[in-house]
Amino acid sequence: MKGIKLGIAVLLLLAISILGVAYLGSEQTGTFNLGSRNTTAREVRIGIIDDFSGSGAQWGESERAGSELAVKELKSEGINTKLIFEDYRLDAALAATSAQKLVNFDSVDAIFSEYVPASVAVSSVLKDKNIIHIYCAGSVSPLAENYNIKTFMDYAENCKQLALKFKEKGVQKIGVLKAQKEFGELCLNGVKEVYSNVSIEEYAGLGEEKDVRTQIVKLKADGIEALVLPGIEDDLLYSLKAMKELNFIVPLGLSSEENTQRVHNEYSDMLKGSLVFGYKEVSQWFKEKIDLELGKKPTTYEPAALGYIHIKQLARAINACPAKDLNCIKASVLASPSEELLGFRGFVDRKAVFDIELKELQ
Amino acid sequence: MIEAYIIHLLILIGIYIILSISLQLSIGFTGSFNLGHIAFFCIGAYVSALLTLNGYPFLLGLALAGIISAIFGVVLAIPTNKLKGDYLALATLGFSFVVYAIALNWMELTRGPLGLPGIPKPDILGIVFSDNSMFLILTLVIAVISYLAIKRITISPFGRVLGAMRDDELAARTLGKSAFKAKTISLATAAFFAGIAGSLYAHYITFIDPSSFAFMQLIPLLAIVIIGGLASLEGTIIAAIIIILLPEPLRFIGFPSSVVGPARQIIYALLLLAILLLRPKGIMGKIKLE
Repeated sequence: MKGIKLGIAVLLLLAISILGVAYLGSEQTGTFNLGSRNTTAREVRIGIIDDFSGSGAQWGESERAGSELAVKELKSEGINTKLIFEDYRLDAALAATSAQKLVNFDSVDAIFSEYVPASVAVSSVLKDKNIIHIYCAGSVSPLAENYNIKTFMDYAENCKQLALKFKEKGVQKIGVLKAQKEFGELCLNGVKEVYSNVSIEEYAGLGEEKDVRTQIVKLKADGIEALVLPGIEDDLLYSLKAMKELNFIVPLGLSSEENTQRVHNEYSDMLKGSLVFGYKEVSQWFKEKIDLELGKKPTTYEPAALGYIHIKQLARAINACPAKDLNCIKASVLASPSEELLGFRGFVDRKAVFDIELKELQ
Repeated sequence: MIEAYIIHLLILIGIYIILSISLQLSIGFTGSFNLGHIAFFCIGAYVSALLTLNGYPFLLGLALAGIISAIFGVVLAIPTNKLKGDYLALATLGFSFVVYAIALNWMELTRGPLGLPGIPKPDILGIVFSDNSMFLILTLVIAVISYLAIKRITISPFGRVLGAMRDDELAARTLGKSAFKAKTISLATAAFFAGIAGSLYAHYITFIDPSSFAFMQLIPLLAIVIIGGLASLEGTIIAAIIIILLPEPLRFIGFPSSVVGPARQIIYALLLLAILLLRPKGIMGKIKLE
């Protein structure tokens, strides 16, 4: 009986807290963010669904810093922008719940999400809501619904270019240390378009697996002459550590987001002859601003730059259009001019296009 | 606008009720510390998604999600029948990892980490459940049927056999009760309902990938079973509601953006700990977890 009473009491408390917080309906004054709009001036509201506490948190934190920097600069243009952050920890159901809250409570004008579990789950929530959605994913095609716009690199194509370059340099046998994530699979597909026989070993990816010595031993035994291993900084550090221990030095195929200063500081001698695909390096002024925003150096500046570019595009478009006019907002975003930062060249078929470089490390 | 958000939460609650009461049948009523439950959830989701993506009706997908998961329950029960306690937990956990690995690597079937997008909303006899209110009704109907079915099992003579197996398997066997039969039926039944829950999940979120069924997804499920109290379906339902709703008020607290993720998780964890400290046997637990 006591248990039933406790259970009912907890349920009532939860129900009251959710409904009470939601119905108070006043502007944020201190601790509570209740989502109602300031009617005295137009405020652009953008929801950001990213990983802020899970294995992708370093990406999320960098993106947050870039987005918040964008908001400060937008203010000087007279555009009042509010960002609402939701942490989804790479879980599709959490992403859907976050999207529901952003749409139904926070009345956001746009959502910026990251990676496939979020982007697909969020997209289904946004149907018929007249809310534009920009998402980062390594895949080729944007999601079918016309309110979705894809950004980030095309991993399959970029890894294919890596493989072509290795083939040009005479590499006969190539290996791929594949992250068990979407970008890992896409990269492998790209390499397979060039090499029919690829040595493949897998690891968890996103810094979740620290010891990859078994995989490196197997790749070494296969006699590979180059190794493609897209991932994040942690993944590359663990791989290089294992390769060094096992005295296995071959040219690597990397993405720019993992090719960080820390990697160079610790393993520069192992990286000679390696190929890196990625965006143009961000400028020094941007790095300094992000360091200031974050209070430290991020592991990579690319998500910050993506957040910075796209939040500005969204805010300007929303500010220039009538409220919830999806066609106007989408047209305005898709007409965004090119920018030097990251080599952004505009949108084609609802996909952001960037100058992607392929360079050899000396 | 608030209705849409509440409906979404209620749908998730419904799915987790089905998932957790079926796990309670296994852990609380049979005494089998089954850590393979998330695998049945995964199997159900993929079976239903693959069938409907290939043009088969939703009802067929739903039914086969349960049946195929149940078959895997039988398959798991056979080699693990003589295992108990930690050994059973490890063996069933191994099964979870195997299913996860298959979902991740069988590219031709599951598309691996690319996942299965575009899973259609349920279509029953020409009625498409595209509206969330209708999906909620469907979920609640299935949740109620699941509860009634499992409740019927637990209060039946067979349910008493399960209880006897849990409390003293040797004594039950000396009285002529077949441990193998009882545990197998229990695991298969639990797997069946987990598969049903998986089907509902897939058709609601409309996208599944292996990360939705990784080992860490078992943690909230176990939390529901323990907080609800062992061998209590009603406690499990209350706990499912608590676990799903507990993080939601935290979304409305304006934490600084630099700590929004970790802050919510810390508070959520502390609230769970507080509940467990107040009621170590769970909300309506009848037996202790040993």
